[in-house]
Amino acid sequence: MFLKNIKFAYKTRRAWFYTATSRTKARFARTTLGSFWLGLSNLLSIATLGLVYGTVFKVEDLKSYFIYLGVGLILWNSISSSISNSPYLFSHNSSNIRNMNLNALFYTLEEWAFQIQTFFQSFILVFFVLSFLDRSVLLNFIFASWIPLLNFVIFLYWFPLLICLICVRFTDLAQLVPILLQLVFLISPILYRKESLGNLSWITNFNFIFKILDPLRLSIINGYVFYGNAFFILLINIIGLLFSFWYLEQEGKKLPFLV
Amino acid sequence: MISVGSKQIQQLYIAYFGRPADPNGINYWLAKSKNGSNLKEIAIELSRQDEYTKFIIFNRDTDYQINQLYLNLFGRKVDFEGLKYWLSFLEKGNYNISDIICALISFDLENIVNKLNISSYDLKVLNNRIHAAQLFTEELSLSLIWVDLYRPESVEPWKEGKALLAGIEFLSQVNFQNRVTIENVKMSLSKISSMPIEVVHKPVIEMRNISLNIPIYHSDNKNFTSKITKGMFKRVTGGKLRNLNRSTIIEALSNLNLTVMNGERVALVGHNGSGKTSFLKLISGIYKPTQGSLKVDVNVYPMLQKSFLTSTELSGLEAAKAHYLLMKNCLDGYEVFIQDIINFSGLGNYISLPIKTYSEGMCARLIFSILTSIKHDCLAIDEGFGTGDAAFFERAEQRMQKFINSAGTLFLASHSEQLLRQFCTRGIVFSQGFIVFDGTLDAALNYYHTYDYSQLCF
Repeated sequence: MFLKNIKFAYKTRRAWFYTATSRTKARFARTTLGSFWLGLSNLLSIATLGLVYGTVFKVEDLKSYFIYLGVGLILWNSISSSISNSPYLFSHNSSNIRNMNLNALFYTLEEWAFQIQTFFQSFILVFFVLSFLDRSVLLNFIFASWIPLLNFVIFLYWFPLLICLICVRFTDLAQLVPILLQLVFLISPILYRKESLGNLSWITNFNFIFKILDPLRLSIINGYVFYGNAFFILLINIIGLLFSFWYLEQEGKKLPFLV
Repeated sequence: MISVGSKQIQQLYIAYFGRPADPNGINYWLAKSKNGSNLKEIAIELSRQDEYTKFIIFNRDTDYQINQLYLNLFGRKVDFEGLKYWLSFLEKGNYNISDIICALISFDLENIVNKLNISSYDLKVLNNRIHAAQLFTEELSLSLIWVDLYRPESVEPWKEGKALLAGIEFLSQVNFQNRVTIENVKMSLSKISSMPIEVVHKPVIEMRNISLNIPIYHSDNKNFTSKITKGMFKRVTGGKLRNLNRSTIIEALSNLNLTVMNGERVALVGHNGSGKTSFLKLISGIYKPTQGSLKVDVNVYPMLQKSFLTSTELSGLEAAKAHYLLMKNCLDGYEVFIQDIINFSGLGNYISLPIKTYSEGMCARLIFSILTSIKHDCLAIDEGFGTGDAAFFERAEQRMQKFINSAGTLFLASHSEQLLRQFCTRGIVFSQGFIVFDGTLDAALNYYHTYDYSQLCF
């Protein structure tokens, strides 16, 4: 099953990557700046939130706070966007699912490619600006962040897919997704430092999304990689990937009747 | 009463027409026999067939007719004693050629052998010919394409045509020494069509006891569907509705058993909701069977798509490119492909504009052009497949014909008999999710018009 899916993904790579790129083009079809908006909108939020929360939390080192917030926010936005879009992935493609004999994996790969493309397009601009504040982030990203980045990229595929498959069957749960995402955002140390949680910092141990986001952020900002932890997360990611493939195989049979 | 067997019918065909029987013919006479016709009656009816009266013995004397019988059965002309015997036999009373045939092939052969100098050589030739004819008919019946091809060129006026002549030639070569093998039969069949036998005899779709249940997941119609399943409303269409514990299912297809050979052109006939589209979606892999075994050895391409792969914010060019990449996984030959689409669809410069600016007709033109521009091994086409406005329709018809002809195997669901007759040779009739008839197209259409659909109402 795993090999069959990988083979399909490889064989059709140009098609799903192209349709994903087309979606980005379609999204900004009527704008002058095009996909440049992806990075620009992130920069605007980072600047605004950085100033507001930097003041609220009485941050002394505003420069490092901006980098912390910037990297965290851009990673969170990608995760959040992937998860919040996922419940409606198949319903958006319902006509094709009901009338084409295309493996449902195609739509998931297209969505993943779209999210990855969006992430890198916004990340490049934000990263470019942040590297002016601290040049070491560029070196850290090149030399230290490969495994956390790999974990992040794999997570962006399987976790939204799992949510998507659950929500397509149990449609009420789709209504909960935005609320849960908001809650996870608020309890995750993104706007604030982990230490600020004080006695409640244990919450982060059960926050799996944060467990994906934090190592990558740490590797970019400080160049730290806890390899044991990174490989453990990689293992969890592979299990998650296998499980979501299996679940897709099971639910795929019912998809034309569910969407 | 002793019923007539296929071997005896085969003997009658050899005697009268000098060729192996076609499977439909055998089935027809077997059915007659079951309804009470005996060998003599069948022989009389065969002697009145146009093939015999207008082709074999047309305006010829009795000597010729008897000679022809001997040639067909024993591969030789009748001897003087034999001819004298049969002529006096006919003069005796109300006997005709069918009586001679019945006497020769039946049955009373021991007596005749003694009287007419029919040697063991003759009997050996006859047995070899019966064996050859049976082998020929069996091989033919493996594919409806061959069954359809093995028929006269014209019935009114009667013209034997190359297919039946190939059968006559095949049987005339069988003699005393010549015990026919399956290879001989295949070689003979290859004269009927240029299509290789191995290709036609390869099953591409095999289904055994296939059922397809469609679950209804909407909660807001539970009350209504439970009323329906309790039989409040009489219906003549759609699969059976069943109410399980907490859900409703439609039995869209039930207990399907089918084998389709490579290159077959299958028409799907039936009322709306009879299961044609579900069947197309099942064989093309959109639906998975709920139970049973389904083996599909060909990539079935469903022509059901009504939307593009890309957003309508994007242009027709991008939609076409996405489709091409999906089909070919690369852009080799894309220029030719897109040029063909631009020329055929007649969209011109509109192809570069966002699809959302197109009218419905323009969208239909573009989808049709995209889907018919790449060849496929097997097509599953639904009648609802739109082609745009009237001006485009004529050109679309020509392109569709070329496109369908380029496909190996075809499944076509339609209510247009003209369309079905144009492309199909085999017909499958659906009713309420069941296959109620499977055979040649003519027989299927005849069945469809005469079938009592209330029989299957649940």
